Amino acid sequence: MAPDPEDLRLIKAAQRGDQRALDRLLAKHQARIYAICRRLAGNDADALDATQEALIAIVRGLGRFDGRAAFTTWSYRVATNAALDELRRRGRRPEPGLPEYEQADDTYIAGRESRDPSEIVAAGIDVDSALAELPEEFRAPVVLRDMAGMDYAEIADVLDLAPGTVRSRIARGRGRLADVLASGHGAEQTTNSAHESELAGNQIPPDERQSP
Amino acid sequence: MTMTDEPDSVDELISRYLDGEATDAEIARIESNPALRARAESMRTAIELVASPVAIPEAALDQIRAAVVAASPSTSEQVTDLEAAAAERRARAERRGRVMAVAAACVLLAVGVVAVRSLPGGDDADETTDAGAVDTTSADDGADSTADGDFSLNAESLSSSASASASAMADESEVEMAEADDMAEEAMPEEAMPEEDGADSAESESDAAGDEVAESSVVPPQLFARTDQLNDELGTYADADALVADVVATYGDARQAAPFVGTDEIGLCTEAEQLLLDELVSDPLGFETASADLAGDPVIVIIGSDIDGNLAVLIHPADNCAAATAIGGAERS
Repeated sequence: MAPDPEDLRLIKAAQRGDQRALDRLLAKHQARIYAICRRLAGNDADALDATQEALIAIVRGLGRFDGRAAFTTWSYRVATNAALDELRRRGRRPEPGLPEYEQADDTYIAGRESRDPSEIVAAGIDVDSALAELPEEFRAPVVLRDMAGMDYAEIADVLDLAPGTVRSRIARGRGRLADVLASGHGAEQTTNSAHESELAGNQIPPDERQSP
Repeated sequence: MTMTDEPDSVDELISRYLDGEATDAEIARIESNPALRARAESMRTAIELVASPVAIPEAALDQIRAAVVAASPSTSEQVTDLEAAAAERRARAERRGRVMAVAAACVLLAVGVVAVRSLPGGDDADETTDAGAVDTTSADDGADSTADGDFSLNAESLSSSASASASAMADESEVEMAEADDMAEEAMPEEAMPEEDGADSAESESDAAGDEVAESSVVPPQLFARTDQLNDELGTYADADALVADVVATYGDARQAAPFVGTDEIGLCTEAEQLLLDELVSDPLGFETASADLAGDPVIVIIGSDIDGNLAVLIHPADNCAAATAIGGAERS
């Protein structure tokens, strides 16, 4: 991605201490950063924690950002690492939460070839459960490609991998997902306690959230 | 459907196909093979699933962002000695009045300098605009009298006469007009033409004077406008007042904390750069660059800021250094 002129202007101002510019910059990108974290983490609580960590890391590292790469490339790398770190800290695979399209939110971020949410509901497909079946090394490139719309070179940069490795992992990740869906493992899960709590009051149980 | 023959290579083939990167031969192979088509369809479903909309918890994200920004390092950099800063601002405001006349008078360019002592829309703006227009007249005189480019010498000679009018500029525009008339008469009486119309007249004076200067033997270097290096694009404006109002609205509360880096990277001529610096109230800190359309003419807008966040705006026609206009002194509340 080519550097966005508006991003560069906001970054330069933020680097000089302009908090308003910093706020604008983060506001512009927070939704997509969250979307990446959400797909990688598999539930809202972990995604919000990862997003917070990502924003903190972005602010801390902004002084070193030189603008040669697009801000999106850099910030997506930070978001990906934050989400994966969150998973590793918790020492578990992503715990699927309430399918996000059932939450009372007005804003949605979709990838380039998104499927109608109503179709997903009708098919009983749980995105989080399906992605949870993928190992981390496949899940990240697939999410960056199909959720964030990054090209292979950018993903290689974000994940610090060779482009050929990225292609291979994306292909294998997509194939694994296709197998998961075909076997019916992507059906909605309704048994875990966190999910039941969310159904009851659309609240994320406190004991499920850890402070960052 | 599961593939047993080299599934990874088949999946890589199909993945390329779904990304639109397969060769014609590969496309033909996939589309002519039912098993491969089915696999492609399964993988396409997987892609669509990953790409399906993610609900964004805007309120929660806004809270997180607000906390992160509030805790960002720049917060602590805003702590300053307020009394010292205020005293410095007052001292610089007085010096600025002198410098304003100096900048108007001793330029190789014929420019108009307008002082704006309040935020856009205030009554003061009109009054000081009038005074500034008169100063423009002095600029013509200064330009003529400095045909040899003795910049600093004229600055000194005019500073004492301009200081009285500068200090009263905020409140007594009529006094300023009279004194400016005196200054004009000292050099070229027939040029003294007090205007009521503010920025427009200042700009027209600048243009007229610019033509005059261009004909002299001392013509400043053309601005080398590398527009691809400008930071922003401001849009189209009917007049300079509207442009400046938008600049202040856009950049007005910018907090600059880095050392002034100068305008070398866009090749701004030193005279125009000096105009900009002269319009700042306190020590310069940074600048923004933008392009705009001013009544059909492309201009480069340089927004300079000082350590107190005051702005100065240089409106610089893209191909006419002599017609640059500096507007400054907008103090934030």
